[in-house]
Amino acid sequence: MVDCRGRVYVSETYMTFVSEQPGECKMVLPLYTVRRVERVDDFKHSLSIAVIFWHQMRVVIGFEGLAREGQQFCMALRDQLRIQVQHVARLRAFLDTCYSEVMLRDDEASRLPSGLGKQFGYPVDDKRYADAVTVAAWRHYFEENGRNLTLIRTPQLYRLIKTGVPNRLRGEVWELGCGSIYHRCSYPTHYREILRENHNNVSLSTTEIEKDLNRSLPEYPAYQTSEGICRLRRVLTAYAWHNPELGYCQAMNIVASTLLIYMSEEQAFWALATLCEQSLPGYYNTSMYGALLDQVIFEDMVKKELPELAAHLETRDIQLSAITLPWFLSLFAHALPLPFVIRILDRFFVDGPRVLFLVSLAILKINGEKLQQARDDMEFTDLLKEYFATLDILLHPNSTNVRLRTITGFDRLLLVATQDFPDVTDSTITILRKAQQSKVIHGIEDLNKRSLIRNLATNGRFNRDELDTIYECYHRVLYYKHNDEETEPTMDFPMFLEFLASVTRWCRGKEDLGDDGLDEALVRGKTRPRRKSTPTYHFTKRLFDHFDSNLTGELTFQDVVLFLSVILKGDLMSRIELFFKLHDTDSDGLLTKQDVVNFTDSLLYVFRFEREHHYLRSISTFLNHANEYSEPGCDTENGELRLSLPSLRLVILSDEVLERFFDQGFAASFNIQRSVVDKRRSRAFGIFDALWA
Amino acid sequence: MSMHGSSLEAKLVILGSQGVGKTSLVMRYVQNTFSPHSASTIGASFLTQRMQVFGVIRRGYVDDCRVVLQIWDTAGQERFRSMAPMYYRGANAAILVYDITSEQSFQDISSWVEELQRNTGDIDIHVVGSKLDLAEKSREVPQERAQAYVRNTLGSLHDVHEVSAKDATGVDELFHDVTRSLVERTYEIERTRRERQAGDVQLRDGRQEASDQACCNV
Repeated sequence: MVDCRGRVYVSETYMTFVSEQPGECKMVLPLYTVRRVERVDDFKHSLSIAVIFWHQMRVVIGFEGLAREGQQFCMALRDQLRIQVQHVARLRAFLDTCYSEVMLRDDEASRLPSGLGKQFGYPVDDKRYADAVTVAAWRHYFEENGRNLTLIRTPQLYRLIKTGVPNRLRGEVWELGCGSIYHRCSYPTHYREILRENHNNVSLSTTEIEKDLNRSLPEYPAYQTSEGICRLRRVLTAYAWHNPELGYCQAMNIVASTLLIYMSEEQAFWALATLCEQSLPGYYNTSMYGALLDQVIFEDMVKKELPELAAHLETRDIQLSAITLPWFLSLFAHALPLPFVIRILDRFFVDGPRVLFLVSLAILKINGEKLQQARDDMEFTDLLKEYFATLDILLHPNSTNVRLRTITGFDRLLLVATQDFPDVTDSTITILRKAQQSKVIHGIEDLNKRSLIRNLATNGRFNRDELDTIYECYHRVLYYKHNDEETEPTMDFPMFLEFLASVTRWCRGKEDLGDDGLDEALVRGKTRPRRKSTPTYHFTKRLFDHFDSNLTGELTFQDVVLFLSVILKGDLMSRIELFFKLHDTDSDGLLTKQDVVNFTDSLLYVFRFEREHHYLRSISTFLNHANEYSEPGCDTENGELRLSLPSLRLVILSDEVLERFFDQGFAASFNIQRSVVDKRRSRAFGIFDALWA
Repeated sequence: MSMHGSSLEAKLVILGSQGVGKTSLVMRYVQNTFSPHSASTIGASFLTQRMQVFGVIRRGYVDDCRVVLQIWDTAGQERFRSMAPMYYRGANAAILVYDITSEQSFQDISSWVEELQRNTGDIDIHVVGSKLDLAEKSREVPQERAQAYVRNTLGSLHDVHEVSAKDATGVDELFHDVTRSLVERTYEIERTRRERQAGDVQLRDGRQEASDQACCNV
């Protein structure tokens, strides 16, 4: 056991410790694994306690400084322990799923759920990397330093992982490394439930998954059987339902199928979730911004660490990202032979994403001289393929030194990766990610914008600059709702209200509809209103439905462009026609009395912030005139009013105020402008453009 | 695309929806193998194939040309679409693959054609229907319709190719056509360039070239 200084924390569920010296000692201990806490006599510290875990491991904590602070900690710990006691029952069942327990009990017959490797064979040979001595060392470590949920992480653990992980234990080491073991323990029924709830459901993701099931490590025997395929299907679909916004991305199939060799389905599910959401943020999202971001960072690192090669790539116009992106996305499973992938993953799960950068840099560095002879992308990839095929070749087969004789090309790769790039650390990667993030995200936005504008069927007589500005306004409203994830975002009614509020003088957003107005409008939005004559059918909703060309309850960018086009690029007549159509109850080309009343309601709504009183006068004149111009002949039994479009024009043109409104006022009430931030933002795409150029 | 005497290096990019068989098509051509389950392509993968095109007319003579074809096979899933420009950048030809048993995959072709025509100069586009071996059992896209679409969009000289990577039907012919078309286009460009230069210098030579052209069109 180690003895070191550091900081101890207690949260609702965990007690954690991290040493002052980085790497010396780390603990994440769930409180329900604690059996009891005792006071310890200790002359060196103001207060000392021993925490005893279910398997009798003792962790002694001596507090420095004021006794009172130590007491506060102890009280907090006691309170949380009392609450966590209820979860102790969960512990027993969970321990039955941990191979470390099996190892200690020497209980190979246990019904522990395991990875496919147990049945179909492991890519890494136990004889070579995890012999009896290694297994004994692991067992000893678990006895001394806890295991699974109570594992204490010390430098000795990292040495053990580097020496060799027994195949049956590997799944557990991976989930401890990335922390997914705690999720698995905290939500013991989640995986099964999500599968049960979505048993018969189908989505775009499940269809895409189905296409890839037979194409995930097809050379591994388990994936030529229905057993392997079914496990993979369950893990991938469960995750797609667990995180529908991300769904499924090609490469996840390869990662998941690698995990499943060593992990049970549930282990693989939680490990995949942790990879997608924490270790590799944004890698597999619909925009894949995380993967692109790391490529930008990687290219920067190559410039810094391997400047000659970087210069060569530039001269020869070789796109490094095109070649290295699959390494990162598939955690090398797409590039290297499986046994090497597994050993890289051992490091990756413990040391995090920097391992991807380090190994990639090492690959380029080792082959640096040869790669600088490559004339194009093709020669570059061919050289790398050749190199990958020679990784298991012994480098010094004739050496007199026994240890040297066993060193393979792959050992050298790992050595270079660990030793040659001391500047590539977690914190530099975090800093670089933050620094480049906005460029990449805005780059993606800009790509989306360019393709949306390019794909417009009609530009509504707006020029490119105007369309850019409209896009900025449109996107400003969608920004938070869609989180850059949709390839073509659309605007629902509440967003449309926000949009109107941002571009017109007369709309204030949701408040315009009153308390129930929005709900009502939304409910109606689902089934398109048949009765446009209802008085509560609000002007803004009329506009929305009119331009909802696909009747989906969502406006596309094209719809919004057409909407603005009628108003800003139209004329007096087209705007009167728009208002006519908005209020024509049954689209029969005639406004009824109720339609006309609604028409005036809409005008009152638009005018309501105007100070001048002549608007009110004009509206009452409008009502009078409308009666006079009523169409004779048709359905006049009840003295019903019928107003045709030509008559409406006459009525409006007879009033100077209304004429002015339709001629200029309405268009002038719209103000389409870029915000200052947007203007600034649209300049900063340099690097990202280079990636695509 | 560069020419060294009568040899040519060209870049060919393979595009199309997920699971239409892009990788299988390439593997059949390059290695003459077929496995029903090849690993999904992540991003893109690269392969080279050398071949020879016989009997192309160059400067009025029948010529053979050695071609080194760089083939970029790409991932089909929609979310990789935004990366496509990285792969078709600088390509001389594109093979757009749809699956004749999937109407949707055929629908997706048009957006590829539009995108390529918008973003690349004069890329040579070939439309290919795959999985011909399944035609009897589950064809969804009639050949006539695909053919009509191709002629409409790409011009009357273009044909849709229907192939099967599984039984190798049409694969060699497809790549042969693609390569031949590349060589002819290169010669064409070369000739126009020479014509332009010659036209600047001497009218008489220009006439000479005109007869060359007639010869090519036969």
